[in-house]
Amino acid sequence: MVSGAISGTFCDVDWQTSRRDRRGIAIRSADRETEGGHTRLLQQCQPADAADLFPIGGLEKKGSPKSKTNTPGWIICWEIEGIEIRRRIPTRADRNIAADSLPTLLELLRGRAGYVHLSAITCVDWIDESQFELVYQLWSYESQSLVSAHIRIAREPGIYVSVFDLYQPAAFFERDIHEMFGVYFEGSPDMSKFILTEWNGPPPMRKEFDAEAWVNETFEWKDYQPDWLKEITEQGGGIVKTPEEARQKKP
Amino acid sequence: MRPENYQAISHPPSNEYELNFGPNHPGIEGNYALKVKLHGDVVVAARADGGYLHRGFEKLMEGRLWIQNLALVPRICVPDPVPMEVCYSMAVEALCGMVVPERAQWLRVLQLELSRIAAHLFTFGGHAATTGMYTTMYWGVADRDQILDLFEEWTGGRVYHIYNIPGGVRRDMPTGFLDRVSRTMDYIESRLPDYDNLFFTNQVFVDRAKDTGPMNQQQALEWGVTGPNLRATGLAFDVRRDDPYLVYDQIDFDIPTEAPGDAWARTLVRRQELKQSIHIVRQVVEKLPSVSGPVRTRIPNPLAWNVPAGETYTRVESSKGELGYYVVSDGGEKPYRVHVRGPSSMHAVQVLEQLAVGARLEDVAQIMFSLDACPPEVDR
Repeated sequence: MVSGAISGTFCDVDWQTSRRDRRGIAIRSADRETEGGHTRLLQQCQPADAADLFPIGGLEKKGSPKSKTNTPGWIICWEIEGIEIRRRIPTRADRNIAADSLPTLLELLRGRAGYVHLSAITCVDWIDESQFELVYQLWSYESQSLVSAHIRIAREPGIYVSVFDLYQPAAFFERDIHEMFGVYFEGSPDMSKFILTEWNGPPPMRKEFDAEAWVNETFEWKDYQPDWLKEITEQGGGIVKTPEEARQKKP
Repeated sequence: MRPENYQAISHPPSNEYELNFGPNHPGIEGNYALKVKLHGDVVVAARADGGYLHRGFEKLMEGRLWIQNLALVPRICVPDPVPMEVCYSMAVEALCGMVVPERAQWLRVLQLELSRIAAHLFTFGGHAATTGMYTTMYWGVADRDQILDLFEEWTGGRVYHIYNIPGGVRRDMPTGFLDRVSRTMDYIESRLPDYDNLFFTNQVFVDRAKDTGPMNQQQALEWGVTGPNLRATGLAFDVRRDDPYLVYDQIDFDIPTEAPGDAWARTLVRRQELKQSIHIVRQVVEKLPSVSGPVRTRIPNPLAWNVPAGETYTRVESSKGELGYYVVSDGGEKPYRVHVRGPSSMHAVQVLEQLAVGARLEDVAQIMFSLDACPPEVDR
């Protein structure tokens, strides 16, 4: 899942100089350790494919809202070493990426395509498939487009590499995901607790943690029956039923 | 007599000491804490400490119906709740493939801009209070109340309106409401020269705020700064213009920028934004009578509403910066996952930690307010 070659050995790409020739995809792979997959990924990625990979050419900077909302998301399936572009509309591109390829792709996107803004990292717990999905939202101030990179990692042991070297905002999101989901990010600057400093239970955002059951176990429910509520209940009012209860009584 | 293994504890000579700044502190916005290490009164290192306002919204939303969550989302950011409602509604609409009627879109823009004005007035007050000028705070809160009165008449709620729902807005405006909006805008615009005299050109404030907490554009981009704080470093980026949503591309407005990137520039950008928001509200007031039609589309029974499976990321420009919602549906009646990306999750943590270093202790609160950091958005 995590190859040792990736962790912490990103190229030092100066975005200000490199974004001038962002159409080129020739990557300095010689000065870094790469394992088979990554090197091949870079070699096979020809400049002609760049326009497909990065929505930087042929993009209207400002389209009318009608043309945007009415454009059906056209689907191209273009696979190269674990990168699959799933859906693409003029300002949105979604990619499914093999977990190993993500740092390479982010490095390409940041260094060569001008995607300098990491908007968010989201973790989704797919407990039935025993996987975590990590979603990286990248925004380019130049081409004004958003790229969502989706990867899946195994739920156990739930370890991935940090992208802090490329995107400093990752520090907060990775810390948050570690706290809420228990995913450990190798190379992240700070994995200490931030929000749940007094919480000793399991990571609460995991799907197996049932907050309501925990509350029932920990606290005691007390009936709230003040006099004014009794009067209302006698008249047929009172506390509203939950939607589940209301639906169950329907034939 | 000392034991044989006695060793005197030796500390390196140092004048540094640690101070807890918050969580209950008049200079902190909301319940939030900073642990600052000081040398004299100069900050050597700062560490943000959050979690005092954690209410577990993201977990709560997974256990509630799509429509029930509308009552939760505005509470994520107290001073500026409308962008939360709009962003969540836009996410659900994107999942359902719903088209919002045009009139509802204009109404939403009106709400968003009124909320932005209210939030900025609130921030000016707080910022002024950190420099010892409490009059601006009283004025700001009082003028914000004018807008809350409008909201109360329009939606029934002063702070949390729960007015935007997936598919549109709950109801249309009361009769004669636009006139009252215009009058309030006239009033707030007439107050701006007073604010300038009292606060923005006040030499006390200018001296305190200039060169306080400066950051350049490259730093801002690297730290993930968005919104007015980014525009104060000279980059004219605004989600409303560059990734337009609703009807913002039919509206004429400028994106004010300032070059220095210090606390003074950040406040000045907000002051100019206030004027732009008034300008936008006037355009909406002019446009709304000519836009007819329903204010919401037909939605399924909200108590048995299975939103189609899928995921989406929607963004709006809140008064604090870029606000994003990542929403995943598995086709059920409740969201599978909702992630709120508040702009303050950058500003209040790593940006504040970096900008506080080198500042004097009395400027830390000012830096936090100049960043317009909103702790409930960080803790969620």
